[in-house]
Amino acid sequence: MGDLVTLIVGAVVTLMIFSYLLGDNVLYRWALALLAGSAAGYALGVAVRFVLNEWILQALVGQPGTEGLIYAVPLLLGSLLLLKGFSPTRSLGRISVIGNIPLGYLVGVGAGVAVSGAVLGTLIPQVLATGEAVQIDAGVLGIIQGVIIALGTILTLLYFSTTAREREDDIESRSTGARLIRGTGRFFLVFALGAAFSGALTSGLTAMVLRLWQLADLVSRLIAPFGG
Amino acid sequence: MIRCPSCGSLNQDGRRLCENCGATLPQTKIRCPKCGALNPVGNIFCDQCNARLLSEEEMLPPELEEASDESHSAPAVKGISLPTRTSQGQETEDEAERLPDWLLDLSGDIEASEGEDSIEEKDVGGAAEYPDWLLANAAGLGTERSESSEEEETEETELEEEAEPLLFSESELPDWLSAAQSLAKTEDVEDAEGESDVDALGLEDELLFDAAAEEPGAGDEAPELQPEEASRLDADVPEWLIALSDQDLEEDVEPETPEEEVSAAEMPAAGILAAAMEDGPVEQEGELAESAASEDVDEEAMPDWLAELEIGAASDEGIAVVGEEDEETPPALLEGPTWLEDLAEAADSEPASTVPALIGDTSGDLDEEGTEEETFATDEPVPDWLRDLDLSTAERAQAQAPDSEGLARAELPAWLQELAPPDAEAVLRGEEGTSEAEGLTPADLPDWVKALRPEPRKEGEMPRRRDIFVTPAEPEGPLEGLPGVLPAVSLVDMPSDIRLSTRAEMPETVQAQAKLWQQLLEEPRSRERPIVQQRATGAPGSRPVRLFVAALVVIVIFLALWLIPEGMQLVQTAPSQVAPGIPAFVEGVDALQPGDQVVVAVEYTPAYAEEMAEIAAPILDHLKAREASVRFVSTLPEGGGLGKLLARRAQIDARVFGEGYLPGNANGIAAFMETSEGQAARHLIVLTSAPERLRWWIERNRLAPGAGDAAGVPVSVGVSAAAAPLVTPYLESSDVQGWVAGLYQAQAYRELRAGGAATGQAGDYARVIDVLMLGHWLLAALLFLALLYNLAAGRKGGR
Repeated sequence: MGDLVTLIVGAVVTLMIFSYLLGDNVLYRWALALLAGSAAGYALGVAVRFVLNEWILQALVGQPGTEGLIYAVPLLLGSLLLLKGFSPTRSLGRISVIGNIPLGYLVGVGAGVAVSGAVLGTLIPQVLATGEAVQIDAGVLGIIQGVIIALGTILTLLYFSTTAREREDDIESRSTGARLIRGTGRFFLVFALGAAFSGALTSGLTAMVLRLWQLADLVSRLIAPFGG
Repeated sequence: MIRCPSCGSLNQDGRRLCENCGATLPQTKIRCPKCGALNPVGNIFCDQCNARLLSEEEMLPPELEEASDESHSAPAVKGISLPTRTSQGQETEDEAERLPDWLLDLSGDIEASEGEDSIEEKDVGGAAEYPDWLLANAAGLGTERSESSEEEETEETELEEEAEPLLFSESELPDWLSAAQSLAKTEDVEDAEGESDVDALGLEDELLFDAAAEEPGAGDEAPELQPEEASRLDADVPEWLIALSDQDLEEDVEPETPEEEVSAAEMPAAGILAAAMEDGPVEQEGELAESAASEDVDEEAMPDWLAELEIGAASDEGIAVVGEEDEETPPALLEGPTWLEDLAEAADSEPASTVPALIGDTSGDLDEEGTEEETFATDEPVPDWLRDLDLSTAERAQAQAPDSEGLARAELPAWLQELAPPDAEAVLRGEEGTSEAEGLTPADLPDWVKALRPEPRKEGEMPRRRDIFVTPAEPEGPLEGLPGVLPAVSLVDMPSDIRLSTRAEMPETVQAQAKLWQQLLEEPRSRERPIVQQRATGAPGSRPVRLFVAALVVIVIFLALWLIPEGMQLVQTAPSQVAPGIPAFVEGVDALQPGDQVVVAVEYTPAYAEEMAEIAAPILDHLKAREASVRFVSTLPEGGGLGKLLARRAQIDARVFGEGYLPGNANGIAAFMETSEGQAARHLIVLTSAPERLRWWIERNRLAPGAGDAAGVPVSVGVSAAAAPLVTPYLESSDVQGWVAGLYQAQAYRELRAGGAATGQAGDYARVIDVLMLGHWLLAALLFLALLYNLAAGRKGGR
């Protein structure tokens, strides 16, 4: 019975989302607000229950002596971060500046981690993978594929490096090689974006098919008692 | 110095552009003697009233232009080192620029006050820089000249333009000698018909060393008087002077040789000079003779050179004789005293300078004790009257010449004089006690002004930059010792109607921005900001098309789900071909031993829960079959709940690490990889629809402690169809062991595990795949139709 109720609620909300085909309406907005609100509420509940209650407060209380005081640091920083909720134009807006301390800490640590991870985990492996794509013993098709991958990577990067503010009278002044690099790099970029769009379309179509499949399953269950 | 109005740096006087920033500097102006308006230096007539700014005498007559050019090209007369007034217009402008402003104003005031008599105008205008006693002599001379005919006056005026330095030479002569020269000129004008005043003034020209200037070689050597020339000059000497000379020579010195005569000429006739100055200018020859005869000057004999000078001035024939000798040896230089010879040598050796250096730069040198006389005697041959005009020696000038008061007062413009207090004249005269007598006390300087007083520099210490470029310290008064207090820009030329305004001129754009900021600041805080909401609106008639397309897709998919029979399998998949990452994925899971811990990262939002659940289903079934210990984690708060949902659907006993939430995104992943749970993992499976979160896991796994050179824990990825194209480079790299992308590959994963045969549950997913493939074909057809429609509409619109 629980699954049936869940299936019915899901079908109704799906139809409310589909109502956007008729234009922007209250049903669509209500379903959209339900999705966003439930996600935010769930995230808040998880943060309060598990992060704040189980991790920090229990660590502060449960640790013997002063060992638990180290958990007061994230608690303090998190509390200061709440001060950012005050609008700077309000009367208590000045105290929102204090929230910049944990915010700066978060941004700084995040940037440091991102830089190290991007260099060691992304940039170098991608360069190596691009180089490994060209293999002599991979056959003709393998070589062509590797060359296309390498050229696509390089030309796409060169497209961004040669991107300058265009003027109507400046386009013709570019050299033929530069225009060829730009055009090829843009082709690969558009091709990649097209593939991304196709993936998004596939995901959306998959979600719709699965939703309609569940609706069909619901209809089958509903008409089954009547001999369907 | 002129302070730049743009950058504030100091520039030399006469500069038009700032040396520092290139800005235009405020230029010296010429005040109109008629209306008082300020005119540019280059103006000849006033822009306001069209009055002549420069007297006609200051303009060069056309016929003398060539001669004037030659005279300017030649070494200038600097024997007396007085400012020689040029007659050319351009030279006048240059001179006006070189001369200080106060001196130009002084000249203009004198011209304006005495303007009726043309001769007086010329003399006074030209003698604006001369002391009063010299002006008086010049006036007497002009009066005598007025008696001549107009033609002669015109000719005389033109010629005096050339001989104008005569006045300067006269300034060096004592009064009695100037008077004698006046008499000589008068006699020349009246008696010597047919002879030009050039001859009459030839002697004075000799005094100015014009000949020496034209022939530098002639003036380089000290001239000596030859006996023949001396005897010939004696014939031209008037009797009264001969008698006086003979008497003096008999009683005092009897020069036997020319050298002794020259030495005797160097002796100053102090008694004669003093007596002549007491008597004042002599206007008649008889009076001069009587005066000279009546003086008891037996003991102070007149030198021969003075006697010969007088002879040359009184005798027309003598002038002619002297003029002939002028080409070879300047007679005046021959008979001149030692100090005149020194000046002549200085004139030959130094470049031309129309402005005495003591006015500007060497004023400080004049203050130095012991060097003043030497400076004037050798390097700076400047007469005393001009030295008195020096502002730095104002007190000395007041003590020596009472008329200098008038000069000092004349330096101020009229508008500034009106602003002067009642006792200003008394103060100018040096009667400082007057102001104190009226109850005025010295000004009390505020502390901040006193703080600006610089400390005396130590010996050997370099002057600071501020001390160099800022206006020099005030030499006197309550601000004594304070530099930079008074502006360096001369206020003499400031117009009377100037209005100082503190309002800065701002561009309109800046004012508009400031006004906008002011409005924003004054806006009430409680006022709600307008929210711009622009709803998407399609083209007219697009809604029916959109409804038609949506209805068509929904109906086709719905009917396909109903009508396509089970096991039809429109799409015959070949897992190894369509998904090269699936076999490696399967092999990695198969390598797990029962009880091995597998970390499953749930990195997708509820919006993708439907698709990701179908992708994760075959993977979790595989893990269940391998009896792996599954731990769900996520950097999203809702990830833990979605993980529990997956575990329930897969019917596996999975745990959620810390309720599945790793706060801190990449930092949370790094922290998790350092925990015992993370280090105990044998396989890492990332289920994501966000490319960046997959990147975080790959990066942190490579950097995990204990990973070393290896790629860390083996990573397999289940990614949505939307994110697959964006993470393909990661999927094909060595960091990822296997991957499953989208619902289609998930179905291939099932078939691969089942050995290529569709099982019961897999058959349901096969029908979904068929419907999905049908939907793709349908969408592709619609997109193609839309393309054709747009092309057709574009052509129609183009027409």
